[in-house]
Amino acid sequence: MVFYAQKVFNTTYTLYEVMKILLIDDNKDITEMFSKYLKLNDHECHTSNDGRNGLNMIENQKYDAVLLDLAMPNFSGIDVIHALAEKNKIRNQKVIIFTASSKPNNDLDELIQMGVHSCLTKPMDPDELISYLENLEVKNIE
Amino acid sequence: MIEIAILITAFYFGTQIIDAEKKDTIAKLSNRVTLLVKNTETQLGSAVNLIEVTRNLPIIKNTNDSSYISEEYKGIPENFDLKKRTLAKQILKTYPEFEFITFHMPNGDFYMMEPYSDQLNITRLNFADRDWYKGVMDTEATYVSEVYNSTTLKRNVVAIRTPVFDDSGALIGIWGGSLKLQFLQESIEDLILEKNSRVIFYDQYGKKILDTDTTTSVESFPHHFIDDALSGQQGIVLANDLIVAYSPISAGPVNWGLIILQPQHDAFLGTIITEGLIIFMLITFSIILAFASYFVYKITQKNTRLVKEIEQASEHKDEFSAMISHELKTPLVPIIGYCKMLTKKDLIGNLNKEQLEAVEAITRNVKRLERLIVDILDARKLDLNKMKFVKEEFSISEFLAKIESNYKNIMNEKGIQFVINSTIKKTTITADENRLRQVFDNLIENAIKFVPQSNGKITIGARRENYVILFYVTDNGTGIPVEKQSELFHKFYQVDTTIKRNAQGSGLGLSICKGIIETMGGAIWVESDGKNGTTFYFQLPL
Repeated sequence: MVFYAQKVFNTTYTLYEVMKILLIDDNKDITEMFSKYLKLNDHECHTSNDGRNGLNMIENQKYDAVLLDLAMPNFSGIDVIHALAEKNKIRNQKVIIFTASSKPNNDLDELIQMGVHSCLTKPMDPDELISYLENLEVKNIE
Repeated sequence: MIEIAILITAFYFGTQIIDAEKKDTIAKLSNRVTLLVKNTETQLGSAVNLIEVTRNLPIIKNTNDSSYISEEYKGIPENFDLKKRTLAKQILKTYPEFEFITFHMPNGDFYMMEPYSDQLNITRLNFADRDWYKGVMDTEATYVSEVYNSTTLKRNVVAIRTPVFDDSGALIGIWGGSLKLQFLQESIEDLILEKNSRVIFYDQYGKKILDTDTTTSVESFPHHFIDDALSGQQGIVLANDLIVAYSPISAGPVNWGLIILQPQHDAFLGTIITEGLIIFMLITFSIILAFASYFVYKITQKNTRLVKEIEQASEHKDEFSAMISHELKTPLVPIIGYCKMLTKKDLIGNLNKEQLEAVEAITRNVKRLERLIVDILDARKLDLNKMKFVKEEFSISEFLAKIESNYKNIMNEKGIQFVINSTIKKTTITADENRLRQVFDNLIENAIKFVPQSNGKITIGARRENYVILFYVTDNGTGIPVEKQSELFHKFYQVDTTIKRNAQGSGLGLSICKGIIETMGGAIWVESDGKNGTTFYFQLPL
């Protein structure tokens, strides 16, 4: 396991783990951009532009976080969640919904009850996203 | 369903009215029968009584002159046994219902008759063949005969005859009188009978004593009612389109029967009219109801369709909002991301100053676009009452401190004096912190736009007033004219609508603030004299 030291406020250093992130989004520009950004920030990013392929990746590999878009053609994020929930595999990974749609809160509550970790809304500042993901890991280390 | 229920109720009350009218008709008839029976019984009783009382008088109890009975006089001559004749005359005078008064010998021969003129008209001497003779001899008591046609007067009479015994108990004669049937006729006439009523009196043998019907216009009726009446039964029944009332008449030895007949059509004419009216009303009512129901059905159908359409439209709107939200926001993701990458030092290479400024301008405008989309969606959610609020208890002073730290840098950059003026230390409030933050952000960003370039000052604060917390955001800008203050919270309203206006914004901020505060049960308002700055106040319940 590789740890990097990051300088914060000139004096203190904080440790963070190199994260392995899966980003599932049908928009290639988005997956490419975030993938680049995460890699530039020393994290490992895997992407899928298709829900069904994404589901396979989730089932076959362990990720530190899975960022899942909801509105995708053919096999949506909701379908991915249902498929995982049916196989009782949803809690094996941190599935984080990453959507631009303004879904009513109770729909999201339902998804979280099904085992989804949390929900983020697009657009999101990439720095904020990385900080969110790193904090997940820090919490984990603690 | 309601229409059927109304009809059933109307029908029920209709039948109740008809039943009540029928009962009323029958009750009236019953009263008439009772009156007629009582009247007849009284008259007959009086006549019988009179004969029975007088037979015990000494002047009756002797037949001294019976040896003068002759065929020629059909009894004793006029000037014999004057005492009996005087009594007979007195009876006839006091009780004119009697046609004549007679005295017969035990063998049925005539002894005397008063008036004497009638005696002379008698065609024979012996009347032992009469039913009354047989009756009196058999029963040795007062007997009332069948109705018969008086031989002298050629009219119907009934004979009341009573045996006369001497002191030793031997039968010495038969005393009596024959009753005219006029009184029956008069009794009937005294009653106000319904149209086409027919009254029939029967004697003990079922022979008609009197029948008011001479034209036989009334249909025949079941004759067992006569037997029923004569055997002492009474009643009112509906039979063969007739109402038949039957009753016995009994007074001492008298055992008669009374029958009153009336066609139902006449008896229930009122009822039939009422029935007709009710049926007419019911039909009219049904038709009106049918029409009304039809129209109500049509209108309901139309309304249901409209409601469905509106619901569908509303659903489409919601779907549209979700779609817009997704479609508008998605392209912003890579734009914002790449801008960030470009502006960050040493990430994917460094830009020169002009390039950096260009990318920063793109970033600024993308942020504005993002904000605009969020505002439009928030305004829509508030309109559709679909904005969700999370209630959490949080400290007001901590909340204000967070705002202060968030805006510290921006205010410093812009040279605006930013003051937090809170008298609240430990008070907490239960509300949606993020939404309250959104209101503050909106008001502070507005204030930043309107404060003067130099010496700008923005003050935010909170204070407790009774059961509410009053928040405020004050700036020292140009102020808002009083006449424009009322429209300030309307959507897309901008105080300065000229193209050259300095401030930019979606025009939705204040209407969103109003929506959020009011949904949380509070109120928002503005105070400004139009010259020296503006204060936005909003309060929330504790």
